[in-house]
Amino acid sequence: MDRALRYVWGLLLALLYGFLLLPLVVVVFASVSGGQVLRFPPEGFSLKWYARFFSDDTFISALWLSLRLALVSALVVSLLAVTSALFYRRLSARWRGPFRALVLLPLLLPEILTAIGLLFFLYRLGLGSSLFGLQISHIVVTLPFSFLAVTAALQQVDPTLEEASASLGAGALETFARVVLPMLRPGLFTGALFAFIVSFDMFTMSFLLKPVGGNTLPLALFDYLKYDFDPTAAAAATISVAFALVVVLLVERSVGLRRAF
Amino acid sequence: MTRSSIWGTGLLGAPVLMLLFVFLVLPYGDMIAMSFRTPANGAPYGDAWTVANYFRAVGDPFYLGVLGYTLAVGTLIAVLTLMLSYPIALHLARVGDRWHVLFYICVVSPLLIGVLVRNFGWMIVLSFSGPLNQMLLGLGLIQQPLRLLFNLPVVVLALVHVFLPFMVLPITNALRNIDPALEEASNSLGATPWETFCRVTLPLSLPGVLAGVTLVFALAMSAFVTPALLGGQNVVLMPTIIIQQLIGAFAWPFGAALAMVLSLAMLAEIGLLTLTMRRLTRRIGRWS
Amino acid sequence: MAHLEIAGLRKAYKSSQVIAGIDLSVASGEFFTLLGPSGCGKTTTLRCVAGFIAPDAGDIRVGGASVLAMPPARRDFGVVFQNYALFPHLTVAENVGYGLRSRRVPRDDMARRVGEALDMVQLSELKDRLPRELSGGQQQRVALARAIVIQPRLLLLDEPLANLDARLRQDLRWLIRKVQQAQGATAIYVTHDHAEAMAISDRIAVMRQGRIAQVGTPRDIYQRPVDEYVAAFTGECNTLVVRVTFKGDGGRYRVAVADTELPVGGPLDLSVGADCRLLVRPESLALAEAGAAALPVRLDSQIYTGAGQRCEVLTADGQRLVFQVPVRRQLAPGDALALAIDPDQAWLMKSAP
Repeated sequence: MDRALRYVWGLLLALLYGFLLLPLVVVVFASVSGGQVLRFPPEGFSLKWYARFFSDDTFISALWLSLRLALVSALVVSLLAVTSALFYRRLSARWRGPFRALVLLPLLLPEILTAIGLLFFLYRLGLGSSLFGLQISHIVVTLPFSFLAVTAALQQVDPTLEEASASLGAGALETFARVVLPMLRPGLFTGALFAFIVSFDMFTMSFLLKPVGGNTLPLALFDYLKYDFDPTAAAAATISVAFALVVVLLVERSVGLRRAF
Repeated sequence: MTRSSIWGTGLLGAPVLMLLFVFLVLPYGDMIAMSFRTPANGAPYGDAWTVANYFRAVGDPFYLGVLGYTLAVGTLIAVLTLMLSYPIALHLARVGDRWHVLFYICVVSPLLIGVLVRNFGWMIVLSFSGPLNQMLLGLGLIQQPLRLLFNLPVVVLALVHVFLPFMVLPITNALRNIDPALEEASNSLGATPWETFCRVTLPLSLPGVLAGVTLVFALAMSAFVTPALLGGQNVVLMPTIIIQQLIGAFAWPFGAALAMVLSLAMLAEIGLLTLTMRRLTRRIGRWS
Repeated sequence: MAHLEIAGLRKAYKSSQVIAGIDLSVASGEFFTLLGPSGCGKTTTLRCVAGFIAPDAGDIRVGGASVLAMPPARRDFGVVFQNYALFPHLTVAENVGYGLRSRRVPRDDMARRVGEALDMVQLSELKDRLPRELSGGQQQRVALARAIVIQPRLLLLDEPLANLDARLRQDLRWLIRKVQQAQGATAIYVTHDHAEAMAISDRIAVMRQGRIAQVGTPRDIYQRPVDEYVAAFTGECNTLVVRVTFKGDGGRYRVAVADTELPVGGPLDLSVGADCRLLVRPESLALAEAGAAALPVRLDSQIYTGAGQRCEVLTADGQRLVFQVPVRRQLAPGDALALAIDPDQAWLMKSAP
């Protein structure tokens, strides 16, 4: 009886995990299909859809834009996260909660609300449908991830280390550069990677704030799917997935996934 | 604090505070303000102020109906997600270190691949020539391929799929915080595994459950892309309507009012849920 | 080397006055210890000197000049922390050289001085290791080397041995003393361990609830404590309630205890008829030879300790004393004994107010 129960349990888990992975698996396999039509299981194996993708100007420029947005977001957000984390640490307990809530607001509120608010506001500033506006919105929305990672890392830094550094003659800046920053590196790295991925895959925000004539990769894919339903789209999708996988592996290698959260 | 360190603190906080004030606080404020403006022809909004948008948002039976529909769908999704997530969370909480990473990636994978790729995957799976139809045909359960897309069940399925990680992770955390000795104690006192689960494990995991349910419910109520892609014209939820007003009809004030109404409804239901759960979680509060 | 003066130091946290007025003066090259139980303010005092805490009132002067306005980085003091505070991402050599690098010491000079410091603490072979690869005792030696290599004006040690086991504590305390003497450094040491304090200090300040109870050499503190608190904190002690019956010259007195009169020593300012406490350390008590002036007592209990017999006796008026008796003496509870008290070691203390 016990054994039968365990089999059922195992089967249930297998189904559930399978459910989780299903769309992903399907898309990846469809992207290497040898046939003409988007189907699964694919007929034959071919990389022609990737060739199609890389020769398609709309997709390539969209990929480019997504990469640029994501890189800039990751860099700016990392810098901001460091100053914010240091600032947060200096705040008295009374102000910490509100500040943290402020930074995490884009995470706490539905993305659609943040997108709408920015849509109105940027329009009134004359920045509606501009690249700058889109970049700023990506920064605001990815900052929480980096902030969480960096503050967690900063909390692990033993304050007596900074006292020791000061007692040995190092001023505040030197102490930060030689003692604190090296210890923040894993958190910074994790935060930057998550910011990159979130920016790269962001849809709703980019949809509402799309710059004139420009498209991010998710938006290009969306447009494409409205008219064509062929494996080129699957190739585009798989490339997004590949990026995500690289990010996860990098985080796992450097910090370990358990510690990252 | 010394004077120099107050300057230092100011310097550290200024960039972030300025950025967030200008590009977060003001936009939210703008949205609230927008909901009180009058509509205009040829421009997104007019010059005067009015409360009419709200009356229309709550008074018009169509919009009220959509709101109720959205609330119901959100609740359904939260419940379904919970039912599917709990077994996964149990597994993830108990699995050994070596396997943990693998399963963790599996759980988080829907999040990492982006909303578009996910929905695209479902579109392939459920299309006419997709694997599900093929399987059903092959098993002889149907004679012709079914039109599986563009209906509510598909939207619910896809949303549950993406929200699973958001439910699994908090519950896993709560489960891992439960002292294993408690379950051993329960067993030693004669309780069956099922009893131990119902009387010890489940109650102690409630804080995580509450966190997950709140999160998923909020996410479900604000989902836009998935209903648009997989539901099309047949699934009309609040976010869809709101975006229509903003992008399609260019009626920003009304769209903003609808967004505010949606947010308030969401907060109300979450508040209600938290209050009712508080009585349950108060006893367990110290462990959460 | 500089000398340290603390005047009128005060510090309060929320509602408690952690430091309630401290004045002391440490000579150049002296090894000065702050001794007291946890919560007495000794660590807070040290951290004020180091500059990590700003006092509410008072002054701290080193070499004649006040250091209060200076941040820790500019005070030029070497600090050794209880939890070692070694930089985990730097090697032993890099840790030791950290302060030198801040002072822009040229590379060759730095390597040489780091090498010398590591030799002094006997860790030269480990110079390329990381802190997590070292034992607690080794880490503390690195911390010591790091603090002295910068040739600080003051060496501040905050219970550096508290996290180590008893054997290591014994070994390392000698190393600390040796290093301090070799460098001629002025050192302020904080500890709650009286044996440690007495073994290595030139002078000790016994602290209690934010104030100094007594300052003196280890001998002074141990043999001539100013009150019961200091006496109890520095070693095992017996105190008897006595009354002064006669005051002689130069601190000689006679006191009455339980119908017996005894000659003892004491501070110069006691008066006849005063009720005082008499300190009689166990080592100052012995079974009296026949005929000698002695205190009659009754044996209450005795415990065999291997090295001797630990006896508890009661005086005629019910006061309790503890002392050691050689093993070969046969004793039984209830025996009437005569206790000889060494008049040179017995010391009078004022009663607590």
